[in-house]
Amino acid sequence: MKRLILSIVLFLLLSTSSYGQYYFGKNKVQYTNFDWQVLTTQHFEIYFYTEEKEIAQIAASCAEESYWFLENKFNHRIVKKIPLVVYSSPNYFAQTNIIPSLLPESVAGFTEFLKGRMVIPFNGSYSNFARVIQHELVHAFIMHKIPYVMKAHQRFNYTGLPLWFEEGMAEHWSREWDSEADMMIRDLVISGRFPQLEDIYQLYGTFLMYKMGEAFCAHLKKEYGDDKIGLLFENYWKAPNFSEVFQLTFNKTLKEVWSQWEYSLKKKYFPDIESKDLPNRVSTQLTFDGINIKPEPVFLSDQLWVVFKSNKLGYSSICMMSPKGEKEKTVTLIKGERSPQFESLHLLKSKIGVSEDGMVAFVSKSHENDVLYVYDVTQRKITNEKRFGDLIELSSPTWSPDANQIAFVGVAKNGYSDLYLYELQNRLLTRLTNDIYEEKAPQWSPNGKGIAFSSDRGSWGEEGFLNLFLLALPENKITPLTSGPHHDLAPDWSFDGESLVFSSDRNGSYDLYLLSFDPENGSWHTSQLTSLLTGAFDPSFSPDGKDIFFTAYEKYSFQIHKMSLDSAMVGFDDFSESANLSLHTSPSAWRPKKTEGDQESGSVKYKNRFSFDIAQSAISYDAVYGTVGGFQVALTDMLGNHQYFFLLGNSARSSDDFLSSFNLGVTYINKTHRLNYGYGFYHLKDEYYDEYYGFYTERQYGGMALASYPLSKFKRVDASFFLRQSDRDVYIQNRGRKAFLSTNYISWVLDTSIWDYVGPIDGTRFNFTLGLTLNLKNGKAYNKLALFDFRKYLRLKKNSCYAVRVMGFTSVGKEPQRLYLGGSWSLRGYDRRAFYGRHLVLLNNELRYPLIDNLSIGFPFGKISFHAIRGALFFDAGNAWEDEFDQLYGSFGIGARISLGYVMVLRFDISRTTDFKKISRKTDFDFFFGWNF
Amino acid sequence: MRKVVFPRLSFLVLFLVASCAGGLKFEEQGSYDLPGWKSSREDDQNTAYLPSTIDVPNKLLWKHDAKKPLKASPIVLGQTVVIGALNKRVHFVDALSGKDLGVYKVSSSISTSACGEDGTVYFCLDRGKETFFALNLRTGNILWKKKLGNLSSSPALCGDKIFVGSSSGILWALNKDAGEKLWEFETKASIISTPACDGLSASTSDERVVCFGSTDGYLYALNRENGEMKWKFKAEGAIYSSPAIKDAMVFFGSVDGYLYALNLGDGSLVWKFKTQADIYSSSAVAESLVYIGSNDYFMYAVNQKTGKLGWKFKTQGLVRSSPIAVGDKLFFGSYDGNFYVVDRFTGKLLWKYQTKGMISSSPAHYDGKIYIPSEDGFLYCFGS
Repeated sequence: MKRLILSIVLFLLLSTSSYGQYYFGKNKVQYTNFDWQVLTTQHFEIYFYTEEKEIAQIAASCAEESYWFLENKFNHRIVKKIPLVVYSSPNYFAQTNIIPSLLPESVAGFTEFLKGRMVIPFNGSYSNFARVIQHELVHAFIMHKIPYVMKAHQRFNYTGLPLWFEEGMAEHWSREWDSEADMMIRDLVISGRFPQLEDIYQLYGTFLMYKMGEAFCAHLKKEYGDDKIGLLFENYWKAPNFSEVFQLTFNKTLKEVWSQWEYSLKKKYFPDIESKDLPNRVSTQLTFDGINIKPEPVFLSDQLWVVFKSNKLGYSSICMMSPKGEKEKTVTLIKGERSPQFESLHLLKSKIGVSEDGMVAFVSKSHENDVLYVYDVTQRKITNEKRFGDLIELSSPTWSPDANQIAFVGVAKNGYSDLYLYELQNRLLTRLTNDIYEEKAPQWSPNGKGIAFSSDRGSWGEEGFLNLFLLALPENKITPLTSGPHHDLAPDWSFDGESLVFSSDRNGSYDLYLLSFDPENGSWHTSQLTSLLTGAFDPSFSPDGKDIFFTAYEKYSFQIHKMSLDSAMVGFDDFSESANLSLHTSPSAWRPKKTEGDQESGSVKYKNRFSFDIAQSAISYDAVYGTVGGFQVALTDMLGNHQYFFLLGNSARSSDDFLSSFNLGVTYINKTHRLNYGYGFYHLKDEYYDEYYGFYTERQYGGMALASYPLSKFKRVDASFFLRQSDRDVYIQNRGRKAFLSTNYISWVLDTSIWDYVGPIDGTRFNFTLGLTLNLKNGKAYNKLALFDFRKYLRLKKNSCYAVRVMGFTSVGKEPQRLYLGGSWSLRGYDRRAFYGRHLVLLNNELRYPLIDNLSIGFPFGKISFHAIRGALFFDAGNAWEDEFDQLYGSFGIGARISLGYVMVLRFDISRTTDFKKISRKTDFDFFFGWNF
Repeated sequence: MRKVVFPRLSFLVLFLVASCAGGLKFEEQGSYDLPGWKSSREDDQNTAYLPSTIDVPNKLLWKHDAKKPLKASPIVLGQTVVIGALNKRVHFVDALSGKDLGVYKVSSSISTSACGEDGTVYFCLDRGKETFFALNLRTGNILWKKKLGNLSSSPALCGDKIFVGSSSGILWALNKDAGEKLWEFETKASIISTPACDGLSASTSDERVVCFGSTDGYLYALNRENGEMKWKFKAEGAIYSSPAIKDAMVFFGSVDGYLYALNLGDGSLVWKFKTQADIYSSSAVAESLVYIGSNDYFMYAVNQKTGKLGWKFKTQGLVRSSPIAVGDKLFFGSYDGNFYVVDRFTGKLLWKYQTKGMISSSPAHYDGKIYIPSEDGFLYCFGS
């Protein structure tokens, strides 16, 4: 029976099933039922749901404009319409079935290669939406252009662009060079951390990699012209790898151009040291590890504290520290990302609001939507929580001075990002704005009569620039406070309400500015508070108004700093912000462009159209698991909600067996709703081996039904039902049998783990499974089983933890299931499959710690680098037995785990075994590929 | 056993047949002294203009399957259409019937156009050891071949010299009879633009010049005899477009989106005309109008003297195809896959034909027929 289940599971997995509910794993929960429509334009098919029609029309316009731009750059036409799937919010986007894996919050969109689908959420910002569409469209063009060129030149073996270059190109051709990118590259150059070409892989997957690639492409444009990047694709057939194609196109090696680029950056940025400072030179750094941002100082029991957001140990959390710094005292208030209540604290996107009496307002994703929480710092507990049914996302709550109301930014199902006001007493929600413009970081004024916020509603907003605005209450009248082609972010009021401190890139890099009202001439004046080589964000006045706490960027990290306001003034701008406003500002002056789609087709209801995701043939044979693989085909619809998997193989050993030895399977999976379900039919026949029966042949055919219901991102219930005829022919003993069986499994699965490079390092994993197989001919139980697998990872430091696994298994009945034990993944120091039986216990204890980071080994042909090598100190105990338990077998040892580029881990263990009376003299050395348990 | 051996034998036989393709001989197709279409831009000055009258070629007469995308432009010598293809072959096709006259196999794809006269075809490759070839069209034999590095421009034949540009930025001047290197001139980036030479009657000075653009953004004018630079002009973007010379003026486009008109004598700017996207197309110059395509989907007709827009015609794709003007008609292709015929004085569409691939190359004319290749792998012949 184990073979049956394994066959089915392997079939599903090999078919790249996204029925990802496999033993452990977090869940992608389909909370929302979408009514999908399709809008057709000249070059795109845009998939959207009814509520976000306007977003889809904006997407259509952006996509067509981007197509036109990129067609020119690539000199290429994409003949087939490009599928573009649009979500009105990142929370909805996280539910997409187009790729099976969970999407990190940092993913702003993706283009997948099976059907060339671009999948993009609207995050409230029109200009950002347009940029992401163009970024993803660059990938779509690359996916079409390179194969077209290679096929035309009859070249079929080629490698793709390096990831850093492709992503950099996508950034370069989708946005203007901006202050954020400039800040990151300047920081690298000034800090002496600028990577060499051969070390760029160390940045793979990071935001910095995107910016490095973007800066490199900007350099190519400046020195050689943007057309040469396009020419690179025309030349792709001429050489076998990217480096040579690059050299052919630019008449210089990639290394030469990299070196030239680095030199030009030094010439550009080093002179800035004369006039700008590193954050540490002008302020006091309070935090040091991980990312620590969005400080909010508050007096509690006559003592000043700083509440802030942190991801020090990988999880996002809300913490509180002494104003002298985290080393003095730090308390974690809210632990995010490990419970359904605080699934995501939106680390970077959302500020926290702290009232004068120590109530912390923050938002977190919880199940489908974001929830507004109020946490009492004194009592250390949540005192209020509110889920707004129509609001999908929330961010940056701010308290009214009387602490009775909270204003925040909310995103409705149609994607509109607006300001809302929530009255705590009567639980009343009021919408303050209602338009397509993006609102960010509202801050209630001390007199309670206005809310300052950042928005793209000004005349520069269409180009993506955010300026400051003031919403007067209760009139709801919006007036601009700043205007210009720059970003003015995160305003915070002084306690007299006479000035605002904010972050702005108006002088080319993000610095802090003070916007002060001059009552004598009724105008606003801006003075610059910092002039940093890197950047300053999220400023917040101390309660006495003497200091400013802020987030500073340095060495690819965000940390909290404190600066005295008296020593901060570096210059006073003599221009009047008011005069600037009168010249440039016309609130709500622009509207995003929209297109209705093709006149002929317009928008129509979505219909399932299936196409191939994968068709492959791969067969292997294992004595225990039989023949694995065959010809496999996966068919899915455009949204990935409906999936068919087909398997065809033959395990015949002779021509006589041919007809009866077909391995066939058809499985359908429906992922449209929260309850994922599937069903299928199969016929499997193969020869197997196990310790109990020896070699035998088993033929099984029947049907199955599968279901998985996620209770949250972390918990689910899985169930499966098999109805089958099983005919077994055992070679040596005359123990063949024929049976008509029904098998039922039900599992409870929990997974809150987070991983580092070689496996889980924090959280919990748990699987409890019960199984029952009935012989339908006599109605008696054929076998019963219970499985218990609990794994706990106790974080000790950032990269170290104590991991423990406790596992038990038992199976009884006429034909019980049996498991193997032994080897690198279970009971170390013993041979793989050293123990076998229908009962099993296993205990693993392991201390995981960092051994070596960034190891490079030189060879005559180049160097091989390893990003992370982790050490392990372990002790195991366990046994598997048939009827009578004899004793526990144990082992202990040390090991190393080497990360091989995120896809594989090489494990090496040195161990000795023990029977708990004596220790064996033989030392076991074991190499194995696989993640930590 | 037999079943195993047979396919291997078949493969061997096919291999031997294919290997012989390079030595095919051609039947002589008419006289090679007759007017044809000797280069992709027709004449030394690259004007791509023939004053003879032509009816609207609204009928597909034949199409020749080259099997792989055609990015080069055809030429017509005698009655033979010559075109290089990405399948590493130069195709020779009967201009009247479309009959396959033979192919010449080379070591690399061909995406540049040939030129020729008096029964000799000159063509080049972008990759390989020997990259420049002179082929006798009467015999099918190679007259000479040269190792010039990777050549990226179509060659231009001016009097007794051939000019061709390389990927490494060198313009080579060769003796057309034996392929001897006469001189070379180095620019800072690939030369893709086909050089143009001043006509004897059009030159404003005693020196005869060869003009070409480079992707380093300069248009160069060199003394044709010794390669000495006469002047250079900096555009705001790389120059892929081939210059055309008429009435002592040079016309060319750039990826900065401008169509430029320069004074041939000193390289000074006379006027420039802005389009909305990069220009890769080369211009045709006929009487008072300059025609050029742009990546903004439009074909433009600009007054030769003033630089003012005469008319513009919108296609549904990039117009990288360089137009040719015959009589009162203008012919060109577009990335939308269409071959267009428009009235060259008004820009009015007279006829179009949809192919199944993008059209990036320019048409050729011979005896009232228009030949245009498409990236669908076919060479099309249209006539009335």
